[in-house]
This record gives sequence, structure tokens and C-alpha cells, in this order.
Amino acid sequence: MNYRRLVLDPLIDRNPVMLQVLGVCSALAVTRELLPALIMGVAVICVLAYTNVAVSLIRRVMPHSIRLVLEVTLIASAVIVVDEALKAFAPDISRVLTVFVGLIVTNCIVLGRAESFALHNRVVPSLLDGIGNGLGYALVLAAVGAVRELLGAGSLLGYRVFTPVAEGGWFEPNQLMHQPASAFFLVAALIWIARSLRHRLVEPADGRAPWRRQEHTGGPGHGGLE
Amino acid sequence: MSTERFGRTLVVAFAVALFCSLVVSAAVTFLRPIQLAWAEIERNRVVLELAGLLKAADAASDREVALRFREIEALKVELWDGTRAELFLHGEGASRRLVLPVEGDGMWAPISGYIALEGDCNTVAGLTFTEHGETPGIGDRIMNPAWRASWVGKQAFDRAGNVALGPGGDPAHGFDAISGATVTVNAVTRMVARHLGDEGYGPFLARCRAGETPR
Repeated sequence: MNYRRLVLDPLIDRNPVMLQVLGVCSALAVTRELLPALIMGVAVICVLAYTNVAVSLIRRVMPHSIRLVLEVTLIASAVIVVDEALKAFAPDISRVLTVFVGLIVTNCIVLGRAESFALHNRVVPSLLDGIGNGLGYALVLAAVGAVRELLGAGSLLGYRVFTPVAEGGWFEPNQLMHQPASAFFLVAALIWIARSLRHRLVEPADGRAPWRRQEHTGGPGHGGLE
Repeated sequence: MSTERFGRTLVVAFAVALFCSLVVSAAVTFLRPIQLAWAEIERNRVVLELAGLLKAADAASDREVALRFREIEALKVELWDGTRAELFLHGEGASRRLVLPVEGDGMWAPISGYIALEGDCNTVAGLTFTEHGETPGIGDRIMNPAWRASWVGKQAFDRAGNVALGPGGDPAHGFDAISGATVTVNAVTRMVARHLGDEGYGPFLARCRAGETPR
């Protein structure tokens, strides 16, 4: 099992947001500024890593009938811990993120990786897969957050980059960037860029998922690498 | 499902639930004191602003809030239900300010905040809410600085010593009503009246108005 590919693939080639279009909801809401977007990315990485390890550890004893319930229990408790930790160590950011940290429970990426990878793989690969997918998600959030903050406020991480007209400069803040819809457009642009850079990611005319093209033995349980 | 598999399902479910509860409880137990410390700084920030010691309260750093809060004097007063409320005082004579906590049930959730009185223990100097669950866009207009400003300068007590603050046109005691938010405004009126009245800080404020130094 190629550990390096587990972590690096989800960054572009198998990015959960750009390729599988998972976890987009929070990408819209928390990316008005770069810092909350980064903190949210870190939160998701932590939840993904913990959940993948936990599910992988109990995958052999987990009864099939209650497996989803157990996975969601693990995810929810991880999210609670992350939420409380944010409230304790970064209360200002926590107030900006409000309910969206709690909504990580519903983030499709977390349950998706638990079901399609952690359930069928050993602990260390699951951990790396969780971190890799979290990094891919964080990358998208960082890109969208950076563009929205730069074009919407002329700053990055709170530091002034362009001087706005209101302070005697030349920069006219783009009001669209303050709206959640702008994140939609930016994610779409990212998807476009990703597929232009990696042509093999474009879906074939018969609608098969692009990554299936690479594998001979792709099956529903084999989201992992051979 | 056979009995054996059913039993195993129960055991695994219980074990996972137990583990998760332990993890969450441990985390919260450890993190709660840190969160409370932050909450106290935020509360102190509100009190300092109402006491007139911080102009741009949001811009002040946490360190500044902690330092300046040492200038505030705190007093405890017992309320109707036996709990002790903490009052904050600052200054002497005409520039004296009292910051009094008020809380009560709002329309959907408890509302809590602080009301500031001037040295005469009668004129309202400010009002801020720190927590509420009121309807966004309607009830939460109690957070609007313009509405809160309509309380400033009003007399809390009438000649008879009763709390007379309420929505309406009374030039001495009336603050602005909020159309569409009657329940919320009534809740605020009630909780201010209860806290400033005889059940709460009333006796303390009466002594203050009579000219005694608060102790």
C-alpha cells in the first residue's frame, strides 16, 4: 500500500470536493475570510483522522446492522470535542464559525471515507486516508477563502493587501464575494481548473466515475488503492 | 438474527456508546474552565463599556480588558430566589456608574444583559444584552444600538419609588417600542422591573438614591 499516495492523492487527483463534489455546503458558509476557512479545514482533518482510525479499529467487531449508527456516534462525539476545543482555544473564530463546526457531522466526506475506506482497511492506511482527504478539503477551503477575502475585502488573514477606496486607496471591494453564492462559483472554477490540469479526471461520455478508468478491479468497497 | 449475534450487537453498541461518552465528558470537563475564563473576559468587556471606561469595547485587547477591570468594584446583592447577583460600580459622585445584571425569560430562550445607571441610581446610562435567543430580524432588534440608546437618560424609578421603565411615549420613563417584537420587549421590561424592584436591587438602589454610599 503506497502511503504517500494515500495522503497526496486526495489533494488534487482524488480531491473529495473538486472530484467527488462532497462536503461543499460548509465550503460556502465559512470561506468569507481565510482564517475561519483554515481553522475549519483543520477541524475537518482532525475529525476525519480520528473517525477513520476509530472505525478501522472496530471494523472487524462492528455488527453490520448497526454499523452506520456506530459510525455516526463516533463522528458526532469527535465533532463535539473539536467544537468545545475551538470554543476554549479560539473563541473569536468559534463565534465566526458558529454552527458550521457542529455541521461537520453531516459532512459527506467524513461518513464517506469511513464507509468506503476505513471499514475495509487497516488503521495506519485509514489514518493517512483521513488526513489526506482532510487536506484536500482544507486546500479547497483555503483557495476559496483566500480569493473571497482578497477580492471581497482586500486583505488576507486580516492583513491589508489592497488599500480599499474607503481608506483612500484604489481597491473597490467586490460585493459578490460577501455572498455565499460566490463560493459556489469559485468551487466550480476550481473543478474546472483541476480537470483542465488532469484530463483523465473528466468523466467519460458513458458517465462512469473517472477514477474507475485507472483500476481493473474497482468495486464498491475498494475506494482504496491496490 | 440469532441470539448470539443479537447479544454481540448489544455489547458492541454499548461499548462504543460508553467510549464516546467518556471521550466527550473528559474533553468537556477539561475544557470548560478555559471557556468560562473567556466568557468572564467578555463579560468584563461589556461591564467596562457600560461603565464608560472603554470607548471602543470590541477593539480593546483582552489584556486591556483584564487590566482596566481592576478599576471596577464588585458588590453582591441577594435576589428573590436566594441567588446572589454581582453588581459593578465605578467612579465617584457625578461620574459614578452602576452596572447591574438583569436576566429573565425571553420569547424563545433566556435573555441576559446589563443595565447601567448613573450616580443618582435612577437615570439609565446604558443597556447591553449578552445572550438571547430572540427571533432574528425582529426580537433581536433589542441588540440594535439605536434602540438601546432610547433607554439612555430615562428615569428608572417614579416618585413613589416604583420601577416605571416601559415602552411608550412617556418622556421620563418611556423607551422605544419595537413593532412586531411585543413579546420580547415585554419580557425585557419585566425582567428589568423585577431586578430593579423590591425583589432585586430595589432596596440597595433606594438607599443609594437617599444618598448613602453603597456597601
